[in-house]
Amino acid sequence: MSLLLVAFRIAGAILLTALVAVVGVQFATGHINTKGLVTDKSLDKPSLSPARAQLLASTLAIAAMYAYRVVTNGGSGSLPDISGGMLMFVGASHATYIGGKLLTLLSGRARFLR
Amino acid sequence: MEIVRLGAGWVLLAFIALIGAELIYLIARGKRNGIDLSHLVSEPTGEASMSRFQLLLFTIVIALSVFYVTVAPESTGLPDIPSGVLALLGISASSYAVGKGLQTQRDTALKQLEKQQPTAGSSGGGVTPPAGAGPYPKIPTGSTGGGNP
Repeated sequence: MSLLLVAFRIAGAILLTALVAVVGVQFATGHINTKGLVTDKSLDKPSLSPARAQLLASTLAIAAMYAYRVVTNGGSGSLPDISGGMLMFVGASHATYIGGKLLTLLSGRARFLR
Repeated sequence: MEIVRLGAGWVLLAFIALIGAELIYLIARGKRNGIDLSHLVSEPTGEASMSRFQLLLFTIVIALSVFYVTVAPESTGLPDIPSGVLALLGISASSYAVGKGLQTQRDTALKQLEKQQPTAGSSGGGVTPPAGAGPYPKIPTGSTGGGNP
């Protein structure tokens, strides 16, 4: 392997790691605003939103599962595909989230116009 | 010819490394004359957006995965992106776009209502939704504050 190729790999690894670390630290220290990430803002008194909580949980689960598959399958030289079942799961999560948002919007408008 | 190829490679590496390091440095500086990421996953209202967060997380995971696969010993170059991964990113981006559309629709409706129902009194409060009116918060219209309870 040529020296240039090794240098590219090392530089890429350092840059990507540093970028993820900087963003991660800013999340952890609160510099990146995550206020209200899982709360329902449509209510008079904001509270935990089940739709947002399930979307967050499914997002973290899918990201972790995919990263695990990449690591265990990494030697093959190709990215692992995502199964249709998992895509349906993601779609259902999003449909729940968007549907809840739409319902809240419509019910709020109806009450407002009444 | 080999020397030219190698030279171009080192120049390219130096360019990418310098740009990347500069960007990371500016992000790390944040609000102190750097790149402020404080609203990376939040809307203009200041509330965090689940769709933005999800899109960010998927993008980071897939970018790291592509890099990991590319530098693997058996790699033959840049890997193809499977259709399932593209669909996953598409679902996430579509959800963000639909959410944005709903929010824009709400804001437009609020502005129309504000025009139709000018505020009574002189305090310059704005449109006040009835109790439990859901996603129709008060829009401040005046400069003197006042507002509604």
